[in-house]
Amino acid sequence: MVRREFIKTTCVICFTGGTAAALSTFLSSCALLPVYTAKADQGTISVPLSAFQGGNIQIIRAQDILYDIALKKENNGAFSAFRLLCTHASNSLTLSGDRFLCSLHGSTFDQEGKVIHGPAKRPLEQLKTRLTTDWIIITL
Amino acid sequence: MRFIFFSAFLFLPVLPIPAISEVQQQSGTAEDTLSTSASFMNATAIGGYGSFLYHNNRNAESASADLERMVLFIGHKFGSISFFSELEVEDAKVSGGEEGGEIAFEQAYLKFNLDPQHYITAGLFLPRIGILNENHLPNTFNGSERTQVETYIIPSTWREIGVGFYGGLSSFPLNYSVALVNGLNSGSFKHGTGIREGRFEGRNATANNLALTGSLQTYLGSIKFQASGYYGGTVGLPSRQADSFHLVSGIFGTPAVLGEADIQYEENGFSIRLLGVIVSIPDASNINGAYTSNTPKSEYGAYAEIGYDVLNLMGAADGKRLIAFIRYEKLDMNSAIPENGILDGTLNQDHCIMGLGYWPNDNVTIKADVRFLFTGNQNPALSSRPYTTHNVFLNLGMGFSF
Repeated sequence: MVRREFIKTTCVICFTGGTAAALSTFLSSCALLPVYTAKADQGTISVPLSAFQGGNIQIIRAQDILYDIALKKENNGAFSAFRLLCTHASNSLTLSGDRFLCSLHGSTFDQEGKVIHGPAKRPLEQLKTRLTTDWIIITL
Repeated sequence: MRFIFFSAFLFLPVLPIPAISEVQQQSGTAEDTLSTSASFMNATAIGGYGSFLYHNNRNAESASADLERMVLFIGHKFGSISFFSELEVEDAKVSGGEEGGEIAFEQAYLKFNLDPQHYITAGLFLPRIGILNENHLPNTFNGSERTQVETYIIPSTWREIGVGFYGGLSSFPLNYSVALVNGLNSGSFKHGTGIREGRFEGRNATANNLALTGSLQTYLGSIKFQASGYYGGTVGLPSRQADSFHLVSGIFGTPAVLGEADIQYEENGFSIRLLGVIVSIPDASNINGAYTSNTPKSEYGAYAEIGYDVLNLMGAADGKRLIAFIRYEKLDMNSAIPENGILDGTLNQDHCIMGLGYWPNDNVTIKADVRFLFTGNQNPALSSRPYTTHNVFLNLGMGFSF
């Protein structure tokens, strides 16, 4: 009985430890999403250039706008903005690694907004951007 | 002879054909129009999908050709609220008195967008359980047939009436859902089909018994992880009537419990799908006592599939795909039976499916595959008809969505 309890307890400890280690490895490998919260004003959203200190892509979230926007800094210094709604059934998209994924039907888009994998057929809708001294202005 | 005819039909599109016009390539699906810029907040869309199947059963020496399903999609966007519906006709025709055929709404629900990450669905919808239940367009999976595990253990397409809440974390790629839907009807459970026949599918569902479902999804690069669950009552009878059957009614009375986890990966032409599911019906003996349906106490299923796009290897970049795949499925629809159940070895099944699928574009697919089936022995207490524990099925299929 004591031996059985010992084996049982050891198994529980090993399982818990293994799960914790696996979870820890998994979570540490998943970078937090770069979300910048902004405010929409007269059909535009302004994002400061300083928002791009940590990387070349930002998820822009604005109050009263029912979708996120991916704002990408190109190699030539220009900025591209995409509406983060799947072009198949309007479901919101999640950034994972270097692509945008739809949780509903599995459509996948690259950071240029192009379809990598359907059923979506159209690329992501691109929004106009313009650059001022310190701000990127996105037109909705 | 029939096989030769269908083979010729199948491989015709693999021969060089004129390129699809640019206009057609950009046409997209009708659902796409729900999110075009010009009509972004108000739009009506019509679309659909369908699949044909030629199915040859070697042991039975039979073959069938069927327009399995044709589904018409109608959606409309009322600003932040959207309506989605799918009207399905199965087996091409429903005619008075003839067996087979079905006309049914597969989905009809309103979606209320709350913010970029959250929305509520209300109506007849498909809860997020497994892979195929929510995403079952024929051009999104390998094989002419839907998987056996997601047909009999997860009874896809499993739609019920209720309310669902869907969301995602704002700073981490984690999606979640929780839904409250009507429960199952254990009075309709049928031997050999698990809980499948207990679905109401939106038709006069009892609402005394309910079910709670939930899911979690997360991503690691191109790998998608999902876990989902279901807990629901299976007796919607009034308590007095339930008592007379010695059944426990109520919201979660005589429950059915389902747990599922899956992993999907797709990169550089490779695709992998892994799924495992287990169903438990702790009070199966009471259901058998009331309905003599030989309901199991538990059932399980799992499959592993690997596919590779041969055209990717050849460097094709025109959207065409030729995917070779192999899938192994294991399911046991009576892995545990109650004391008043009868074990049926034929429900302990192994399936090995291998085949090819050709996608001339993302919305059309033509498939050919063979399925090898191995089962346990037949229980003479259930049937004395001749039975062979192995069989081979040949399938040819065609699917599309628009």
